[in-house]
Parts: sequence; C-alpha cells; structure tokens
Amino acid sequence: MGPDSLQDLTDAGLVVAISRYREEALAEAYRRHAGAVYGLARRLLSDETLAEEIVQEVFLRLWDTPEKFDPGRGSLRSFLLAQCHGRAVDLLRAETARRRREEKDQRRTAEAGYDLELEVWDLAVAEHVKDALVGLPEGERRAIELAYFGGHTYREVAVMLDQPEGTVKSRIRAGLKRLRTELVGSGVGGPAVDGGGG
Amino acid sequence: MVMISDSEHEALRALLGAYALDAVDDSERAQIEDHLPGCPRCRAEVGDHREVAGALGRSGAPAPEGLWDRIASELDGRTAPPLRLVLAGHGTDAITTAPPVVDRPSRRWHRTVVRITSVAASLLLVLLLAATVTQRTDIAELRDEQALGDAATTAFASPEARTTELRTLPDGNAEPGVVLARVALLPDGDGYMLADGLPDLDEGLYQLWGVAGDQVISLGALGRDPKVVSFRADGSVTGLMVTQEAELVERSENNALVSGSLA
Repeated sequence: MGPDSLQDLTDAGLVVAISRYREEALAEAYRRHAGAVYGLARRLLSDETLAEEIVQEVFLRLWDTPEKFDPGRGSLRSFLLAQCHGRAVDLLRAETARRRREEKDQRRTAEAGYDLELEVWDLAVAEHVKDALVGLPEGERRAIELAYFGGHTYREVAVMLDQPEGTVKSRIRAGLKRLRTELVGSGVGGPAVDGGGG
Repeated sequence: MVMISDSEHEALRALLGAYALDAVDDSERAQIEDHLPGCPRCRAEVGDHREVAGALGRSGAPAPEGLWDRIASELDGRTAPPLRLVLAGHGTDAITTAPPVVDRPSRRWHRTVVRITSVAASLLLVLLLAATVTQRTDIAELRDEQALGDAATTAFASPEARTTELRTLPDGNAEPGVVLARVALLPDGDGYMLADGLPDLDEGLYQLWGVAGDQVISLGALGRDPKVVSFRADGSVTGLMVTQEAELVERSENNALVSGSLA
C-alpha cells in the first residue's frame, strides 16, 4: 500500500495500519491532526516547548497503544485532543499547585481564569463553533470555557464564578449537550479527516 | 462493574460533562471510570461530550516544523512492541467468519465474559451471561502476514511469555494428548497461536476461549484453517481451549477440541 492509499484511508483505517507499525500511517495521522493537538496544548499551557512535548507524547502513545482508540466512540481527532487535554491539565495543575505552594497567592487562579476567558475569543476555532458558543446562555459558556480552556475543575470554576458547585456542574453538562445539538448539523460528530494538521 | 444505587448513578451522570472536560477531581474521576465499563449509556454520553470538546479544541495552528522528525526519530529508537491489533468499526457490525487473525478489545472484557458451571468437570461451556463477540472488519488489505509471523516468532522466543501446548481431549473421536497448536502469551496481553495442527474445516470455524478462574471468555474466532493467529488475553487467563462452531458464538455447548494450561 502506497502513500496515496494511506491518504484515502479513514482515521479508523489509519489506526489499524498504525497497529501494524506502519510509520507512514502515523505520519498521516500527524498530518491530519497534529496542528489541532498542538494548538490546544499551546492554548492551555501558554508554553510552546511544553506544547511540543505533549504533541510528541500524544502521537507516541497512539503508536504504542493504538487499541485505546475506539472508533465506535468518536473521531480520532477528538480522541487525540482528549489525550492532549488530559495531559496538559495534569501539567497545568501540577504547575498551579507548585505556584500556590511557593507564592501562597490564592487569588492567582481567579485572575488567570478571567484573563483566559478573554483570550478564548482569539482561538482560531471554526466560525460555526464560535457561533454555537455565543449562542449558549452566558453561565454555561463561561463554565465550559474556564473548565476546558482554563484547565480548572468545576469546583474551581464555582469559586471563580461565585456559584454553587452543583450549578456549575449542571451548566457544564447542559451546555455541552446544547452545543452538541447546535454542532451536530455541522458534521462535528463524524471523523475529521481534513488536512489542517500542519 | 460496581453496582450502584439509582441516586448514586444520577450523581455520577451529573458529573459526566465535567469529567469529559477533565474538570473533576481524582476521586470523582476514579468513581466514574469504575462505572463506565458497565454502563453503555454513560459511556455514550461521555463520547458525545468529548466530541463537542474536540470541536472546541480545533485550532488551525500548524504544528511546528521539525516536530514530526523528532517523533519519527523517537520511533526508530524504540524496541518494536509485539504486533498489536485494533478494531476498525467494531461494536455494531455483523459478526463475520474470521480471518486468520483474532482480536478482541482488551478494554471490553466485560462484554465477553461468560461464566461456566464446571469447566474442569466436563469442558462443556455453559455460558450464563450474554457475551458480545466483536470482530474486526475491513482489514484484509491491511493484514501483514509477515509482520504477524515475525511478531509470533519473537513472542515464542521471549523468556517473559507464558506458553502452552493445546492438546486433544478424550472425546471418543480423536487420540487424546496430541499437540495441535502452541500458544505464547506475553505479559502485556498479546498472545500468539501457531495452529497449523488443527485440520482445515469445510464449514464453520474454530473459536478460541480463555479460562480465567470460573469464567470462560471468548477470545475470538480462528477461522477455518488457522495457521498463525494473534489474540489478546490478560494475566488472569490460565487456560485456553478451542471449540468448533458453525459460526462465531456468544455461548458454546460444544466440547473443547484441544486445551492447555498456561505455564
């Protein structure tokens, strides 16, 4: 099988090829998705070096354990982004904890959160995603942004927004469901095979 | 699967959005991850939330130049792990007769776990829990027999592998104790079977089962003329059996043709 046919493979087919140690299949997965993974890691960590390390880790993990991707449960891109997000949040929280210990500055989290909320609008997300976000009730939108892009737990978000934890928890869930309804017509639910990976 | 009350279930469900965004604490995460394997509804919801999160995370920024080269050089430096097989589009597909490759998703054991009343006494597989056996599709063009053979050879040579010979059982038709297949199971769960002693079938297929305590687990179909097969099984599997079936089955009432205990 040549490179051309790899480009024609679905993401699920690519992962099968990766499981057979076809390096060019991993390269194709990288071409499709590395840009998104890098963009998210850099957004979360504000650190290009760390973001590169996370990209490296995510794709090496795909190489080592491709069976962890279950095409029945979502697209490869969402899977890779979830891996990236989890790892970035780990780093972020470790860093936050260190800073908290060293500086004992309890206000830092809240301040960082609000700065970040403003930055979210610089994201180069697709227009229809922005539209869907804007269409959310403000409480849901802010809770999701602080949790996802800020890497905060819902408890932390509750403190930042001065709301009960239960309310934040519900708003995140309701907001995600509402977003899905908005986005599903835009093909978000299908596998992403665009070539924007850089 | 951990049984929980309805109110506990609702409490967990309320957390699924935050969980999908990595916004729960460690103890909540552990609770949810205990629960998910046994709850398709919650798994589906998490999948939906993650898909939405994936849409939020799509920035168009290109990855830095040279990053792929670093990853590729890292691949070169790694010891090639044994061949590992994944499913493509499993879960809802019709079960097909098998290619000479068996796989089963290691994370789905709960779906293929079945219980038997007395394996040792009769080798009659009486399966009390429904099992879903999933089968790879669309892999024929991707199969790399040479790589499979190489991986199997490596596994059999590995000092870490548990190995066994699968021998015929006294069922009145065959001479007992004849070795028809050999198996090597690596600590990471990758198993390989050299099954060239099993006679080719005109119809139906061979099916592989793993024995783990009082449970028998379908490890997948071996096809009609298995030669080199890979499968997945974890450390709890202490024995293997092969049955002959008309098609891949969730439960079998046939006697095992061969069996062996893993050293």
